[in-house]
Amino acid sequence: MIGRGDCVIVLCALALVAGLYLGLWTPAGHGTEVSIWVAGEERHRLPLNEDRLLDVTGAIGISTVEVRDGRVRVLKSPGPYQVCMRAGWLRDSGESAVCLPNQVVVQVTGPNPRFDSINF
Amino acid sequence: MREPGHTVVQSTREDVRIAYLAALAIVIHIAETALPSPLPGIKPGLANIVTVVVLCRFGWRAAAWVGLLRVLVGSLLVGTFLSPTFFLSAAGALAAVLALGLSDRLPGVGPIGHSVLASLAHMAAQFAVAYQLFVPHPAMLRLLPVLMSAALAFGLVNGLIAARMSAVAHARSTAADPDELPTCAPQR
Amino acid sequence: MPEALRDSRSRRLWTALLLALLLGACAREQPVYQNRLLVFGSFVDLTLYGVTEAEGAQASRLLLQQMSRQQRDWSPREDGELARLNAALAAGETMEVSAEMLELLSRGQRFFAATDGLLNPAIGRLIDLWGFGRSDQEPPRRPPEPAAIRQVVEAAPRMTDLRLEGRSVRSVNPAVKLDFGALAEAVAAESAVATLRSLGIENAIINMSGDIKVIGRRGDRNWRVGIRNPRGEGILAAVELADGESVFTSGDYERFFEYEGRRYHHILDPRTGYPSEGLVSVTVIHDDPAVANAGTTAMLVAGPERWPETARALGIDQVMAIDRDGLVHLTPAMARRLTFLAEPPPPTRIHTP
Repeated sequence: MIGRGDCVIVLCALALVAGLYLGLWTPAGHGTEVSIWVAGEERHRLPLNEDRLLDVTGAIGISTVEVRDGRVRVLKSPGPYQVCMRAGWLRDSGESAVCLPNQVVVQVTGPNPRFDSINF
Repeated sequence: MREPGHTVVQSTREDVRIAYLAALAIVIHIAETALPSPLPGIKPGLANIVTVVVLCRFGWRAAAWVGLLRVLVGSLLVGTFLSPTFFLSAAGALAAVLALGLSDRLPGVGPIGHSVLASLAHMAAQFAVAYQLFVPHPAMLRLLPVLMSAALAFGLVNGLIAARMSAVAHARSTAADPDELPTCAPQR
Repeated sequence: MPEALRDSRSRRLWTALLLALLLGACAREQPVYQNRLLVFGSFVDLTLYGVTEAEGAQASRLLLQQMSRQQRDWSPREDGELARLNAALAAGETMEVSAEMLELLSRGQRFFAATDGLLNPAIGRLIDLWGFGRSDQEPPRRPPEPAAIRQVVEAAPRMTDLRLEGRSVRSVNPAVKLDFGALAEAVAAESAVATLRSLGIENAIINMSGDIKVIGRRGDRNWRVGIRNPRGEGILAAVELADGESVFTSGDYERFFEYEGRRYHHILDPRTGYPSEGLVSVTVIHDDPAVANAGTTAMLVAGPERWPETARALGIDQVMAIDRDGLVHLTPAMARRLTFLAEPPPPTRIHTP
């Protein structure tokens, strides 16, 4: 009663439905990884689903990056204006915190970013 | 007896058959509209069983007629002709008929494959029309996976029923008429 | 139909179907090139669509060269053309400048006139006095002495004090010290676009420390930009930019210090000599990045009551201004562009110009 063609169609249909869940049900724009750059080069790439603290050595000192609950922030960084710490928690794919004096950039990346760039 | 100067449209045996099967599909279609639905947009689509059986026994042309007549006449009877509901059903039926045209050409496909493909096409087209014309909101997209899962499930169930029905029908008609066309029970 | 023929035909159909699916999946791979340039004392993020890796790398090299030179020549704190010009102006001398510098100066003069002096690149001394000049230097711990501020403000350095004759530039007021600030970056963004176009690159997004200029599209859709919440975290609103548009934001949150419970930020009101008050941030969408930058700075200084006049004077119709209470003021044209994403959505008020 079930032919080879039937099997192929049903399997394709299952794959399609699974793909739809994956594509449309991942929270829009939430990143999956954080990419950490020092002086224009990517140094680290961490998954956002594993909580951890990471010390990153930059141009003038150590910036501490904290990953928790699918978000990331710069916890401590040398720099007069503390711009990157004030950026707070980052979650959206494309969001970044820039520790300019230390030349450290923390940027969230993910499979379906909502934005091509962030204005601030 | 023909009166002179008056042409009569001759009904072929096939016309009658299509009309009969379409009527059956319409009855099922209307009965189903009376059923409560757990979620808007989700219906078992039992009338599609008829379309699939027709495809298997009488070919794609007949199935296309039954599929499209059902929506047209069904909407006239229920009173939704040219309403939003009608355009949704029409888009779905058209897509399903086209999908059947494709699956009919693929080897090794039986009622289950036909039914699943048609069901998915039906839902996808309906959703596309609903999204484009009525609610072009991104939140709608989050419904799509649920709707397509339902379409797949009902497509499978309807396909199983259609397979069973065409097997019975085939057994009966071959008993009565050994020259009857084979059903589309898949070749191994 | 013979069984064998039907079979080979249908096999071909299956193959074609699978191929189409595969191609469909591959077509989703977008040829996007991304790079981050360290220049202008900041990061410039470059995103190019529809270029090869090699073309992207070449564009990056050229832009880095070009912007490094612009930074040297247009920053008062480097050892380039603007530093030499400032020295000449302070000494009361006349100096021949490049065509590029002349353009920068005359644009500065036009913005000064249009904004009634709210945008004034001649207040370099005031900026030096406050010590906000560099992002990597220690911030001031307290505001300068009021007497010192009064002295600089009363010297009244104005862009109209400059005399441009041919390529010769002199100042009738020795208090003039030029500091273009982010306006230099905005002009650099415009010339970066010209460079990309000369390389045959028609689809790009340039983000210069938060300010954005786009050209073309990203494949079959427009470029999508998120605007960060100037207070708090996350994205405030989303906007799709059409070919050639730029979106600029100025705010009191970039460089500031607190002293005795007050926030002192880096955008100074040339009339008072103190940081501007009343507005937290101003966002502008406009084709010309220089107009957009001049607009955001001047409107932040103009404040919650008078920013619409400044917008009109500069020919800007898309403005979002956020005041201290968190109220979002919008022009009708801007309201049509933005999709607010913050939860709960902020209170907004539409200002008909």
